[in-house]
Amino acid sequence: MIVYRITVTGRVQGVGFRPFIYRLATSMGLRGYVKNVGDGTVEIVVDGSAERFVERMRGEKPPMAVIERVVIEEFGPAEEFSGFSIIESGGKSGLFSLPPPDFAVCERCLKEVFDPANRRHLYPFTTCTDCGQRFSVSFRLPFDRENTTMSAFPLCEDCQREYDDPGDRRYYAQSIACPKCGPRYFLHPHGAEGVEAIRLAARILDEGGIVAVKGIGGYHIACLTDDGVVERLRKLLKRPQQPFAVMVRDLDAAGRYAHIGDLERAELESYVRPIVVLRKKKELHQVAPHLDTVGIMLPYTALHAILFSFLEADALVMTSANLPGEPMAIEWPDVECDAVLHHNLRIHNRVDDSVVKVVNGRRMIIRRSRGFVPTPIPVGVEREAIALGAELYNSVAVLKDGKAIPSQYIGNTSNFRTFSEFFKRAVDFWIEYLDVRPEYVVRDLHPLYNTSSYADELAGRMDARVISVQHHLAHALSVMAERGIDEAVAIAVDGAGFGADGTIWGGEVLHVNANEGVFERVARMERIKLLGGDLSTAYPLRTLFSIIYEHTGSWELLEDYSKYLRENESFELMEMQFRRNLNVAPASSAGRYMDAISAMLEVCFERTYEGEPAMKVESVARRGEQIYEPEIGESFEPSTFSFDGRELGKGHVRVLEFGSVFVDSLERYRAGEDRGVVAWRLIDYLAMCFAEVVRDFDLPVVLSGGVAFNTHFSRSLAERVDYLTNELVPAGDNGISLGQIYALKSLEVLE
Amino acid sequence: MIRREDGAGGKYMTEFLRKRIFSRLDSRAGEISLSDMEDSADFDEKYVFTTDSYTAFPPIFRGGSIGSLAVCGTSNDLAVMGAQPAYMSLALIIQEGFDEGTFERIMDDVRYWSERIGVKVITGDTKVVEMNAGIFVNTSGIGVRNEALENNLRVLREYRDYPYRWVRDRGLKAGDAVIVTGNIAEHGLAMLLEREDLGFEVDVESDVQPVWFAVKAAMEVGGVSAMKDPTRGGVAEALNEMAEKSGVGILVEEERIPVRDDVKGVCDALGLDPLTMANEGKVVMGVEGEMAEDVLRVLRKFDESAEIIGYTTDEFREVVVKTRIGTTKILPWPTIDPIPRVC
Ligand SMILES: [Fe+3]
Ligand SMILES: [Mg+2]
Ligand SMILES: [Zn+2]
Ligand SMILES: [Zn+2]
Repeated sequence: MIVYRITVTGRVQGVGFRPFIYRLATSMGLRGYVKNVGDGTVEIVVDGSAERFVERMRGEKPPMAVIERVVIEEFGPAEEFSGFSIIESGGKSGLFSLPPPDFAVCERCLKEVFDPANRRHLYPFTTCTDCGQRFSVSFRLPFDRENTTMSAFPLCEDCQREYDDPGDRRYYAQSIACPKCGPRYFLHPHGAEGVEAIRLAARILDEGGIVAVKGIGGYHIACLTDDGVVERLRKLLKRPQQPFAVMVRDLDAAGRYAHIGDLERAELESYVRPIVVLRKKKELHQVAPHLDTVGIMLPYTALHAILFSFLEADALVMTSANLPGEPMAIEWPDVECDAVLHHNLRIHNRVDDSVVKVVNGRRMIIRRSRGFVPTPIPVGVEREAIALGAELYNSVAVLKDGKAIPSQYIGNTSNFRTFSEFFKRAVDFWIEYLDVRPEYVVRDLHPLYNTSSYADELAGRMDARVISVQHHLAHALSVMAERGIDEAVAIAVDGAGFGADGTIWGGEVLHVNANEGVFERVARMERIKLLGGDLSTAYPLRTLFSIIYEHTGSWELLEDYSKYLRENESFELMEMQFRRNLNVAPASSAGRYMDAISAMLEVCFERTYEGEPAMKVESVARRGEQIYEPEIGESFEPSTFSFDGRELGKGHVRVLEFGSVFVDSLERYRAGEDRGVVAWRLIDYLAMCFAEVVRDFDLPVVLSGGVAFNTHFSRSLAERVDYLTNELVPAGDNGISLGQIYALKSLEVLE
Repeated sequence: MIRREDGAGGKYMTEFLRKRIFSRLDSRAGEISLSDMEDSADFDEKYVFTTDSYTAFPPIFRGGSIGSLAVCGTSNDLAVMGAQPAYMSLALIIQEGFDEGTFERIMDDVRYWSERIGVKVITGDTKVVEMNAGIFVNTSGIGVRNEALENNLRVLREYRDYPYRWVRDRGLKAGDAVIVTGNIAEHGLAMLLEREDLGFEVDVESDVQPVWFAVKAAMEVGGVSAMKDPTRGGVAEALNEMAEKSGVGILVEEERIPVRDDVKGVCDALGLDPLTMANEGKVVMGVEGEMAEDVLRVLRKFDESAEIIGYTTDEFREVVVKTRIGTTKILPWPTIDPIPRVC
């Protein structure tokens, strides 16, 4: 009889792959063994039927496993096996022994949870090989129970039996627990424990209370979706306008609150179980004020399922229990609630809920955290490095063994606690976890980001070299890294990043060749004078003023808007500031373009959360699209361009002019044109200009930056050019660390 | 090419000085050297020495003139070392054709303030030039050890080792209170309003004044561990410099930063942060925690807006502001022009 060796590559460790192989082989009557190999592959040896075996393996694999490659070889002379066995692996740690991400509770576990005869009846920590917490509890590699915070809960006899039995679905599942031996829930200040704690929490919620709930990656704060209750929550969290995510009982409930497409349903039900941004069906005014979308997710732990089983309501606001900009709480909520439903399992790695949105038919990740991290992305750069990202919506990324591993979402690093308790610790954690010795520390070019100075400090400490990568180049490279593209023409559209010429960029077309280190600014949006720098970002009317004043030399057209000025503001003062260049920063910025639209159309005069004006504009533009149903390819205005002098010594830069379009739109709006139509046209105009520039290049077009999340912009662009955009990491600054890593590619080639 | 940033304080200027100046010159006569970048340096047991050039435009402004700046500014650089301002030089570079009346006013201010402070102008120089200079004034000053300083160090040393002979900007230790001796941002804003004629109705004038008397009173109570004169770069720069040099962090409560509402209003309308605006008569002071209330009481006799704005800590190394809503943000080193960072 011939013996075969089958080598399987992919996400095959830590996902119940070996017991699955064991069961499959025994059921087929095959003899041999299966073992984990140090390089992340699984080696299977069987004494026959290899082809058939692999076919069934592919068809029946465990849900969390991902099979990338299978190699079958004949394996020496026949050997005598007495049966089929699982061989203990020698534990080499590193990239290849990474745990899978934290995945949603599986159907089989839920069935047990709601089976009164099962020993895990109503047990909120029920998990198995196919589901449950992984990364959030892991503090060291390899992913064995003793290297997780679950190690504080020694297995009872029953659990141990399951853990040791290759025929059991919990064989070697690191996160298993039961009511007898595992962590438990408590309700503060009521002193209730276990199921009673959950039952009581549900009652408090139904009665309109606000309850903090400790979950997998941190604390949520939960309450009903009724306006009155949510209003109270807003005061508590100091978030006057930010949309809150809603967790609904099930898919049916989701359908009552929002419109759900096929792609969106798949996302809702996936193992990642992210927050999916959906079109509202119900008003839900306080939950997502002045937006026509709402973020919805399904229950993703047994706790959530149990909570909903006790709850009358079919939906709960579920947002993170921290003040704006602060890191998500993992030890105790930062705000005073009516009750705290907490548990005694330590969260080692904070993971926020991930957020996805279907933009123009493509799934885009807005916030990449729970369920996605850690997932390595092959980039083909053989170095060890760490990239520290930008500032807001930050993540870091590590480079090892030719792969980039982007960290979980970190958030706003200008916030002190996020910077010190999350960012710095994440940097230390990832370096140690993956045993990286960085040759390079990659940072943003911005001189004031805390991450920039930390990169310098870290490089000094680690004896590494600092590489500064321009912000929009990094955005472009993040798409190129995902696709393995070396050369592209890139549209990088966002709020603000420090430019290679020392001015602020944010609406750019770049020609990038990652191999040769070519980075050329081909076109940019015209500059807007930001009066008072970031003050303009906080108050979009200032930005609108600058555009109108720049192009008409007066603010006559804005006279009616004086009622929106703040207490100390006046248009006279803005005029003075504009003319004297007093505390003014010129910026080419698609984000500020969106802001100015939001002020023009009277939808947002103060930005109270990241992206607020742009999101509100997107909501009104959707109405415009419906009313107008514009013909594809029909443009409303001819695009206008001027030329800037030589920039970066590399030639002329085309400048996308939009002043006259803005003035015209403002006049039309004031004359009574529908705001949705005005918004739609302005966004379409911008996309048209970018399309015109990139069409001149015979290169793949890539799109990145936060404005890529704008459905209308993306759609308008897609009508005109084929482009690639981010799919694996966010197009916003949360994905920039991947691009920073890919920048090392040119070094690779140069040496 | 020398850039505007190179002379504007903050990180760029520090870098510039390190690269271009301290690499060539870095001497000390006593315990303080040039590259320590303190407000003054000692040259024996008894004396400290400082110099400063003034380029104020316009030369006469609400609340004072370049003359008051030159005398108070240099005296203040001495005072924040704990030294009593004693002697001064005065060097003038005047543009040909400079208005005589203006010049008279400037010199009257020089006389007025030097008499008030009790500092003797004992040497000087005058040049008239053709270039478009208006008027530049340079003053150097010598400060003297005094009883108040001795008392301060004696009291302070009851609580801890203090290895310095003067009050140094690196003297903070975890647990010190940080005091600002009065409302901030007024000089910077007054100068801006003078220059830019923004048509604003704000009754604000430069706070230019000597700090010596308040400093002396504080030292007579004792426990002052560090001082800085928050001129260019404002309180933000003073705090960052003191924290970095002392190797401690500072937690500041936004709510307690003394600033007039109308001043804050104008700053806010222009996108300026009062913490980065210049002051010419205030001190940022570190005080041994247990002495802080006593020192504050005395300081309030000079200016009732004096306030404990925060405390030092060894839990972190940054200057952190706790906002009104309870969040925390890192207070960066100031820059001259705004560099937007919000994406
Ligand atoms: Fe960006
Ligand atoms: Mg000075
Ligand atoms: Zn399961
Ligand atoms: Zn158990």
